Amino acid sequence: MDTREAKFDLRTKLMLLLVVNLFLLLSHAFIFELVLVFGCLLLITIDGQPKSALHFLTAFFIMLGIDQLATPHMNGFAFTLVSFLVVSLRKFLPCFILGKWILTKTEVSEFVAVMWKLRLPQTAIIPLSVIFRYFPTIKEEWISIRAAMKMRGIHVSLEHIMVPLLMSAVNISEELSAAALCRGLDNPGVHTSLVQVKFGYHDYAVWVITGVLAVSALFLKGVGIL
Amino acid sequence: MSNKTNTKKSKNLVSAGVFIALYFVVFLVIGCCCMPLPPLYLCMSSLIALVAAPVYLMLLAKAPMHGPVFIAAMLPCLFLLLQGNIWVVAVTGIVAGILAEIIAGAGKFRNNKLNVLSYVFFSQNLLGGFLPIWIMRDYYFADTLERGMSADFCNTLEAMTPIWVLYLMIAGTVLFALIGCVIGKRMFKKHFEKAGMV
Repeated sequence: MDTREAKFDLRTKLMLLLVVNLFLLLSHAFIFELVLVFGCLLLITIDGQPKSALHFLTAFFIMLGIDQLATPHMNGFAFTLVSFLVVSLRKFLPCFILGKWILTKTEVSEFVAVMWKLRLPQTAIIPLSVIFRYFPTIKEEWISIRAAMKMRGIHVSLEHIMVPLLMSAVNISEELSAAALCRGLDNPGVHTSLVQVKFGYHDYAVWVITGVLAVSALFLKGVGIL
Repeated sequence: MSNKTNTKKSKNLVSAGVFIALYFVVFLVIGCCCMPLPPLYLCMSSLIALVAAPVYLMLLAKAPMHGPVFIAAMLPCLFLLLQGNIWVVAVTGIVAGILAEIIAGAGKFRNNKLNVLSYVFFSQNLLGGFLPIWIMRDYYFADTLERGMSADFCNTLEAMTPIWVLYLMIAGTVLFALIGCVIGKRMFKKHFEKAGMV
Protein backbone atom coordinates (compact mmCIF):
# COMPACT_ATOMS: atom_id res chain seq x y z
CA MET A 1 0.00 0.00 0.00
CA ASP A 2 1.22 3.47 -0.84
CA THR A 3 1.92 5.75 2.04
CA ARG A 4 1.65 9.48 1.74
CA GLU A 5 3.98 12.07 3.10
CA ALA A 6 3.35 15.73 3.72
CA LYS A 7 6.01 18.14 2.54
CA PHE A 8 6.29 19.71 5.96
CA ASP A 9 5.71 17.79 9.16
CA LEU A 10 2.86 19.17 11.29
CA ARG A 11 5.20 19.26 14.28
CA THR A 12 7.43 21.64 12.33
CA LYS A 13 4.46 23.86 11.56
CA LEU A 14 3.29 23.93 15.17
CA MET A 15 6.81 24.67 16.37
CA LEU A 16 7.00 27.52 13.86
CA LEU A 17 3.71 28.98 15.05
CA LEU A 18 4.91 28.91 18.65
CA VAL A 19 8.39 30.26 17.93
CA VAL A 20 7.14 33.02 15.61
CA ASN A 21 4.76 34.04 18.38
CA LEU A 22 7.59 34.24 20.86
CA PHE A 23 9.62 36.22 18.33
CA LEU A 24 6.79 38.70 17.94
CA LEU A 25 6.58 39.17 21.68
CA LEU A 26 10.35 39.43 21.96
CA SER A 27 10.81 42.38 19.68
CA HIS A 28 8.73 44.96 17.86
CA ALA A 29 11.56 46.13 15.59
CA PHE A 30 10.39 46.76 12.06
CA ILE A 31 13.28 44.95 10.34
CA PHE A 32 12.50 41.87 12.43
CA GLU A 33 8.85 42.03 11.38
CA LEU A 34 9.94 42.16 7.73
CA VAL A 35 12.17 39.10 8.15
CA LEU A 36 9.35 37.12 9.77
CA VAL A 37 6.71 38.10 7.21
CA PHE A 38 8.93 37.30 4.25
CA GLY A 39 10.15 34.09 5.87
CA CYS A 40 6.59 32.88 6.33
CA LEU A 41 5.61 33.93 2.80
CA LEU A 42 8.59 32.05 1.39
CA LEU A 43 7.55 28.94 3.31
CA ILE A 44 3.98 28.88 2.00
CA THR A 45 5.27 29.58 -1.51
CA ILE A 46 7.55 26.53 -1.23
CA ASP A 47 4.58 24.49 -0.01
CA GLY A 48 2.65 25.39 -3.16
CA GLN A 49 0.54 28.39 -2.19
CA PRO A 50 2.09 31.29 -4.15
CA LYS A 51 -1.34 32.83 -4.72
CA SER A 52 -2.15 33.01 -1.05
CA ALA A 53 1.34 34.40 -0.41
CA LEU A 54 0.70 37.15 -2.95
CA HIS A 55 -2.57 38.08 -1.21
CA PHE A 56 -0.84 38.32 2.15
CA LEU A 57 1.97 40.38 0.64
CA THR A 58 -0.51 42.85 -0.85
CA ALA A 59 -2.39 43.09 2.45
CA PHE A 60 0.86 43.69 4.30
CA PHE A 61 1.87 46.57 2.05
CA ILE A 62 -1.60 48.14 2.14
CA MET A 63 -1.59 48.03 5.96
CA LEU A 64 1.92 49.42 6.04
CA GLY A 65 1.00 52.20 3.60
CA ILE A 66 -2.06 53.25 5.60
CA ASP A 67 -0.04 53.20 8.80
CA GLN A 68 2.70 55.37 7.31
CA LEU A 69 0.63 57.79 5.23
CA ALA A 70 -2.80 58.16 6.75
CA THR A 71 -2.63 57.70 10.52
CA PRO A 72 -0.64 60.88 11.30
CA HIS A 73 -3.65 62.85 10.00
CA MET A 74 -6.28 61.13 12.12
CA ASN A 75 -7.36 61.28 15.72
CA GLY A 76 -10.08 60.14 18.11
CA PHE A 77 -12.24 57.15 17.41
CA ALA A 78 -11.29 56.74 13.74
CA PHE A 79 -7.67 56.65 14.75
CA THR A 80 -8.27 53.93 17.35
CA LEU A 81 -10.13 51.79 14.86
CA VAL A 82 -7.72 52.23 11.97
CA SER A 83 -4.69 51.83 14.19
CA PHE A 84 -6.14 48.59 15.57
CA LEU A 85 -6.68 47.29 12.06
CA VAL A 86 -3.40 48.27 10.48
CA VAL A 87 -0.95 48.01 13.38
CA SER A 88 -2.18 45.34 15.83
CA LEU A 89 -3.33 42.99 13.11
CA ARG A 90 -0.24 43.61 11.00
CA LYS A 91 2.04 42.75 13.90
CA PHE A 92 0.44 39.32 14.01
CA LEU A 93 0.38 38.78 10.26
CA PRO A 94 3.09 36.07 10.40
CA CYS A 95 0.88 34.10 12.80
CA PHE A 96 -2.15 34.53 10.55
CA ILE A 97 -0.11 33.30 7.60
CA LEU A 98 1.09 30.24 9.50
CA GLY A 99 -2.34 29.60 10.99
CA LYS A 100 -4.03 29.64 7.60
CA TRP A 101 -1.27 27.43 6.21
CA ILE A 102 -1.77 24.86 8.96
CA LEU A 103 -5.55 24.88 8.56
CA THR A 104 -5.56 24.54 4.76
CA LYS A 105 -2.58 22.29 4.16
CA THR A 106 -2.90 19.73 6.94
CA GLU A 107 -5.18 16.75 6.49
CA VAL A 108 -7.15 15.59 9.49
CA SER A 109 -5.60 12.12 9.30
CA GLU A 110 -2.15 13.67 9.52
CA PHE A 111 -3.26 15.77 12.47
CA VAL A 112 -4.57 12.70 14.29
CA ALA A 113 -1.42 10.70 13.50
CA VAL A 114 0.75 13.46 14.98
CA MET A 115 -1.45 13.63 18.08
CA TRP A 116 -1.05 9.89 18.61
CA LYS A 117 2.69 10.27 18.20
CA LEU A 118 2.76 13.04 20.80
CA ARG A 119 1.01 10.57 23.18
CA LEU A 120 -1.92 12.84 24.03
CA PRO A 121 -4.88 11.13 25.76
CA GLN A 122 -7.83 10.08 23.62
CA THR A 123 -10.05 12.53 25.50
CA ALA A 124 -8.00 15.34 24.02
CA ILE A 125 -7.22 13.89 20.57
CA ILE A 126 -10.78 13.35 19.38
CA PRO A 127 -12.25 16.79 20.24
CA LEU A 128 -9.15 18.59 18.96
CA SER A 129 -9.19 16.79 15.62
CA VAL A 130 -12.92 17.45 15.27
CA ILE A 131 -12.41 21.15 16.05
CA PHE A 132 -9.71 21.20 13.41
CA ARG A 133 -12.03 19.61 10.88
CA TYR A 134 -15.11 21.64 11.81
CA PHE A 135 -13.88 25.24 11.39
CA PRO A 136 -14.23 25.37 7.59
CA THR A 137 -17.63 23.71 7.93
CA ILE A 138 -18.91 26.45 10.25
CA LYS A 139 -18.10 28.99 7.56
CA GLU A 140 -20.00 27.01 4.93
CA GLU A 141 -22.97 26.56 7.26
CA TRP A 142 -22.94 30.28 8.03
CA ILE A 143 -23.09 31.16 4.33
CA SER A 144 -26.02 28.80 3.79
CA ILE A 145 -27.85 30.13 6.82
CA ARG A 146 -27.42 33.70 5.66
CA ALA A 147 -28.66 32.76 2.19
CA ALA A 148 -31.73 31.07 3.66
CA MET A 149 -32.45 34.06 5.89
CA LYS A 150 -32.19 36.46 2.96
CA MET A 151 -34.47 34.32 0.85
CA ARG A 152 -37.17 34.35 3.52
CA GLY A 153 -36.58 37.98 4.50
CA ILE A 154 -35.60 37.25 8.11
CA HIS A 155 -33.55 39.83 9.98
CA VAL A 156 -30.47 39.03 11.98
CA SER A 157 -31.19 38.15 15.61
CA LEU A 158 -29.61 35.91 18.20
CA GLU A 159 -32.30 33.27 17.88
CA HIS A 160 -32.30 33.23 14.10
CA ILE A 161 -28.56 32.63 14.05
CA MET A 162 -27.98 30.34 17.02
CA VAL A 163 -30.85 27.93 16.41
CA PRO A 164 -29.90 26.94 12.86
CA LEU A 165 -26.22 26.88 13.80
CA LEU A 166 -26.88 24.57 16.74
CA MET A 167 -29.25 22.44 14.66
CA SER A 168 -26.63 21.95 11.97
CA ALA A 169 -23.97 21.36 14.63
CA VAL A 170 -26.05 18.57 16.19
CA ASN A 171 -26.61 16.93 12.81
CA ILE A 172 -23.01 17.27 11.78
CA SER A 173 -21.74 15.87 15.06
CA GLU A 174 -23.91 12.80 14.52
CA GLU A 175 -22.69 12.33 10.97
CA LEU A 176 -19.09 12.86 11.98
CA SER A 177 -19.25 10.34 14.80
CA ALA A 178 -20.85 7.78 12.49
CA ALA A 179 -18.06 8.35 9.98
CA ALA A 180 -15.39 8.23 12.66
CA LEU A 181 -16.72 5.02 14.20
CA CYS A 182 -16.77 3.39 10.77
CA ARG A 183 -13.06 4.10 10.58
CA GLY A 184 -12.45 2.52 13.97
CA LEU A 185 -11.91 5.60 16.08
CA ASP A 186 -13.18 3.71 19.14
CA ASN A 187 -10.62 0.94 18.75
CA PRO A 188 -8.67 0.93 22.03
CA GLY A 189 -5.54 -0.56 20.45
CA VAL A 190 -2.69 1.15 18.65
CA HIS A 191 -3.89 2.95 15.53
CA THR A 192 -2.14 2.72 12.20
CA SER A 193 -2.05 5.61 9.76
CA LEU A 194 -1.82 5.99 6.01
CA VAL A 195 0.03 9.24 6.48
CA GLN A 196 3.60 8.67 7.59
CA VAL A 197 4.66 11.18 10.19
CA LYS A 198 8.39 11.74 9.94
CA PHE A 199 10.83 14.56 9.37
CA GLY A 200 12.11 15.17 5.84
CA TYR A 201 14.99 17.36 4.75
CA HIS A 202 12.57 20.30 4.42
CA ASP A 203 11.78 20.01 8.12
CA TYR A 204 15.41 19.81 9.17
CA ALA A 205 16.15 22.91 7.07
CA VAL A 206 13.32 24.84 8.75
CA TRP A 207 14.41 23.77 12.24
CA VAL A 208 18.01 24.80 11.58
CA ILE A 209 17.04 28.17 10.08
CA THR A 210 14.66 28.88 12.97
CA GLY A 211 17.37 27.95 15.43
CA VAL A 212 19.88 30.28 13.82
CA LEU A 213 17.30 33.05 13.70
CA ALA A 214 16.42 32.54 17.36
CA VAL A 215 20.04 32.61 18.48
CA SER A 216 20.83 35.71 16.44
CA ALA A 217 17.64 37.47 17.61
CA LEU A 218 18.51 36.76 21.25
CA PHE A 219 22.06 37.91 20.64
CA LEU A 220 20.95 41.16 18.97
CA LYS A 221 18.43 41.71 21.74
CA GLY A 222 21.15 41.16 24.30
CA VAL A 223 23.45 43.68 22.60
CA GLY A 224 20.51 46.06 22.46
CA ILE A 225 20.19 46.55 18.72
CA LEU A 226 16.74 45.04 18.24
CA MET B 1 -13.02 -0.80 29.17
CA SER B 2 -15.65 -2.67 27.20
CA ASN B 3 -15.99 -1.82 23.58
CA LYS B 4 -19.50 -0.47 23.95
CA THR B 5 -18.63 2.19 26.53
CA ASN B 6 -15.64 3.13 24.43
CA THR B 7 -17.86 3.60 21.37
CA LYS B 8 -20.18 5.83 23.38
CA LYS B 9 -17.26 7.79 24.75
CA SER B 10 -15.85 8.35 21.26
CA LYS B 11 -19.24 9.48 20.02
CA ASN B 12 -19.54 11.98 22.86
CA LEU B 13 -16.05 13.27 22.23
CA VAL B 14 -16.83 13.91 18.56
CA SER B 15 -19.92 15.93 19.53
CA ALA B 16 -17.84 17.76 22.12
CA GLY B 17 -15.37 18.79 19.44
CA VAL B 18 -18.12 20.28 17.31
CA PHE B 19 -19.56 22.38 20.14
CA ILE B 20 -16.16 23.48 21.43
CA ALA B 21 -15.40 24.72 17.92
CA LEU B 22 -18.72 26.57 17.86
CA TYR B 23 -17.95 28.16 21.23
CA PHE B 24 -14.55 29.20 19.98
CA VAL B 25 -16.09 30.84 16.91
CA VAL B 26 -18.55 32.76 19.10
CA PHE B 27 -15.59 33.93 21.17
CA LEU B 28 -13.65 34.98 18.06
CA VAL B 29 -16.50 36.87 16.42
CA ILE B 30 -17.54 38.78 19.53
CA GLY B 31 -13.93 39.33 20.56
CA CYS B 32 -13.02 40.89 17.22
CA CYS B 33 -16.09 43.13 17.26
CA CYS B 34 -15.40 44.35 20.80
CA MET B 35 -11.66 44.77 20.62
CA PRO B 36 -11.24 48.29 19.16
CA LEU B 37 -13.68 50.14 21.44
CA PRO B 38 -12.80 50.57 25.13
CA PRO B 39 -16.36 50.41 26.54
CA LEU B 40 -17.23 47.40 24.41
CA TYR B 41 -13.88 45.83 25.24
CA LEU B 42 -14.84 45.78 28.90
CA CYS B 43 -18.22 44.22 28.03
CA MET B 44 -16.59 41.46 26.02
CA SER B 45 -16.72 38.64 28.55
CA SER B 46 -20.34 39.48 29.47
CA LEU B 47 -21.44 39.44 25.83
CA ILE B 48 -19.67 36.16 25.20
CA ALA B 49 -21.30 34.71 28.32
CA LEU B 50 -24.70 35.74 26.96
CA VAL B 51 -24.32 34.38 23.45
CA ALA B 52 -22.36 31.22 24.22
CA ALA B 53 -24.79 29.89 26.87
CA PRO B 54 -26.90 27.76 24.48
CA VAL B 55 -23.71 26.31 22.99
CA TYR B 56 -22.41 25.38 26.44
CA LEU B 57 -25.68 23.79 27.52
CA MET B 58 -25.73 21.83 24.28
CA LEU B 59 -22.15 20.73 24.92
CA LEU B 60 -23.11 19.39 28.34
CA ALA B 61 -26.23 17.71 26.93
CA LYS B 62 -24.36 16.01 24.10
CA ALA B 63 -21.11 15.19 25.87
CA PRO B 64 -21.82 14.51 29.56
CA MET B 65 -18.27 13.68 30.60
CA HIS B 66 -15.10 15.16 32.07
CA GLY B 67 -12.61 16.74 29.69
CA PRO B 68 -14.48 18.72 27.03
CA VAL B 69 -15.52 21.50 29.42
CA PHE B 70 -11.92 22.05 30.42
CA ILE B 71 -10.77 22.11 26.79
CA ALA B 72 -13.53 24.60 25.93
CA ALA B 73 -12.47 26.89 28.78
CA MET B 74 -8.79 26.70 27.90
CA LEU B 75 -8.94 27.09 24.13
CA PRO B 76 -9.77 30.84 23.98
CA CYS B 77 -7.29 31.49 26.79
CA LEU B 78 -4.51 29.74 24.90
CA PHE B 79 -5.45 31.76 21.85
CA LEU B 80 -5.21 35.00 23.82
CA LEU B 81 -1.91 33.85 25.27
CA LEU B 82 -0.55 33.26 21.77
CA GLN B 83 -1.79 36.73 20.86
CA GLY B 84 0.57 38.10 23.47
CA ASN B 85 -1.77 38.51 26.44
CA ILE B 86 -0.24 38.40 29.90
CA TRP B 87 0.02 34.90 31.44
CA VAL B 88 -2.78 35.59 33.98
CA VAL B 89 -5.30 34.64 31.29
CA ALA B 90 -4.10 31.03 31.31
CA VAL B 91 -4.46 30.83 35.09
CA THR B 92 -8.09 32.00 35.15
CA GLY B 93 -8.80 29.67 32.22
CA ILE B 94 -7.50 26.67 34.16
CA VAL B 95 -9.29 27.64 37.38
CA ALA B 96 -12.60 28.37 35.63
CA GLY B 97 -12.35 25.17 33.59
CA ILE B 98 -11.64 22.94 36.59
CA LEU B 99 -14.36 24.53 38.74
CA ALA B 100 -16.90 24.19 35.93
CA GLU B 101 -15.89 20.53 35.49
CA ILE B 102 -16.27 19.76 39.18
CA ILE B 103 -19.63 21.50 39.56
CA ALA B 104 -21.18 20.01 36.43
CA GLY B 105 -19.65 16.64 37.32
CA ALA B 106 -21.25 16.73 40.78
CA GLY B 107 -24.64 16.51 39.06
CA LYS B 108 -23.34 13.97 36.52
CA PHE B 109 -23.81 16.72 33.87
CA ARG B 110 -27.57 16.13 34.04
CA ASN B 111 -28.56 18.40 36.92
CA ASN B 112 -30.04 21.56 35.46
CA LYS B 113 -29.19 23.93 38.30
CA LEU B 114 -25.66 22.66 38.71
CA ASN B 115 -25.08 22.98 34.97
CA VAL B 116 -26.15 26.62 35.06
CA LEU B 117 -23.92 27.23 38.09
CA SER B 118 -21.02 25.58 36.29
CA TYR B 119 -21.61 27.88 33.33
CA VAL B 120 -21.40 30.88 35.63
CA PHE B 121 -17.93 29.78 36.71
CA PHE B 122 -17.00 28.68 33.22
CA SER B 123 -17.77 32.10 31.75
CA GLN B 124 -15.20 33.73 34.03
CA ASN B 125 -12.46 32.04 31.99
CA LEU B 126 -11.68 35.24 30.07
CA LEU B 127 -11.39 37.33 33.21
CA GLY B 128 -7.62 36.84 33.15
CA GLY B 129 -7.43 38.92 29.98
CA PHE B 130 -8.73 41.89 31.95
CA LEU B 131 -7.40 41.31 35.46
CA PRO B 132 -3.97 42.80 34.65
CA ILE B 133 -5.72 46.15 34.01
CA TRP B 134 -6.00 46.36 37.79
CA ILE B 135 -3.42 44.07 39.34
CA MET B 136 -0.49 45.05 37.07
CA ARG B 137 -1.73 48.42 35.89
CA ASP B 138 1.50 50.05 34.67
CA TYR B 139 2.83 46.95 32.99
CA TYR B 140 -0.50 46.27 31.30
CA PHE B 141 -0.80 49.69 29.67
CA ALA B 142 2.85 49.76 28.58
CA ASP B 143 2.38 46.30 27.09
CA THR B 144 -0.90 47.12 25.33
CA LEU B 145 0.64 50.22 23.81
CA GLU B 146 3.59 48.25 22.57
CA ARG B 147 1.34 45.61 21.05
CA GLY B 148 0.08 48.23 18.65
CA MET B 149 -3.12 49.55 20.23
CA SER B 150 -3.30 53.32 19.94
CA ALA B 151 -2.39 55.63 22.81
CA ASP B 152 -5.94 56.95 22.57
CA PHE B 153 -7.32 53.50 23.34
CA CYS B 154 -5.01 53.09 26.32
CA ASN B 155 -5.84 56.51 27.78
CA THR B 156 -9.59 56.00 27.44
CA LEU B 157 -9.30 52.54 28.94
CA GLU B 158 -7.22 53.84 31.84
CA ALA B 159 -9.71 56.61 32.55
CA MET B 160 -12.60 54.15 32.39
CA THR B 161 -11.29 51.58 34.83
CA PRO B 162 -11.42 52.49 38.50
CA ILE B 163 -11.40 49.39 40.71
CA TRP B 164 -15.20 49.09 41.00
CA VAL B 165 -15.37 48.38 37.27
CA LEU B 166 -13.66 45.05 37.96
CA TYR B 167 -16.43 44.02 40.37
CA LEU B 168 -19.02 45.31 37.93
CA MET B 169 -17.44 43.24 35.19
CA ILE B 170 -17.50 40.04 37.24
CA ALA B 171 -21.08 40.70 38.35
CA GLY B 172 -22.07 41.57 34.79
CA THR B 173 -20.59 38.34 33.46
CA VAL B 174 -22.44 36.32 36.11
CA LEU B 175 -25.70 38.10 35.33
CA PHE B 176 -25.35 37.71 31.58
CA ALA B 177 -24.36 34.07 31.98
CA LEU B 178 -27.60 33.49 33.90
CA ILE B 179 -29.68 35.39 31.34
CA GLY B 180 -27.94 33.45 28.60
CA CYS B 181 -28.87 30.16 30.29
CA VAL B 182 -32.51 31.23 30.58
CA ILE B 183 -32.58 32.15 26.89
CA GLY B 184 -30.80 28.91 26.07
CA LYS B 185 -33.31 26.82 28.01
CA ARG B 186 -36.18 28.59 26.26
CA MET B 187 -34.55 28.04 22.92
CA PHE B 188 -34.18 24.35 23.70
CA LYS B 189 -37.84 24.06 24.69
CA LYS B 190 -39.06 25.91 21.65
CA HIS B 191 -36.92 24.28 18.99
CA PHE B 192 -34.86 21.30 20.07
CA GLU B 193 -37.05 19.30 22.43
CA LYS B 194 -39.85 19.38 19.89
CA ALA B 195 -37.48 17.99 17.31
CA GLY B 196 -36.32 15.36 19.80
CA MET B 197 -32.73 16.51 19.75
CA VAL B 198 -32.06 17.05 23.44
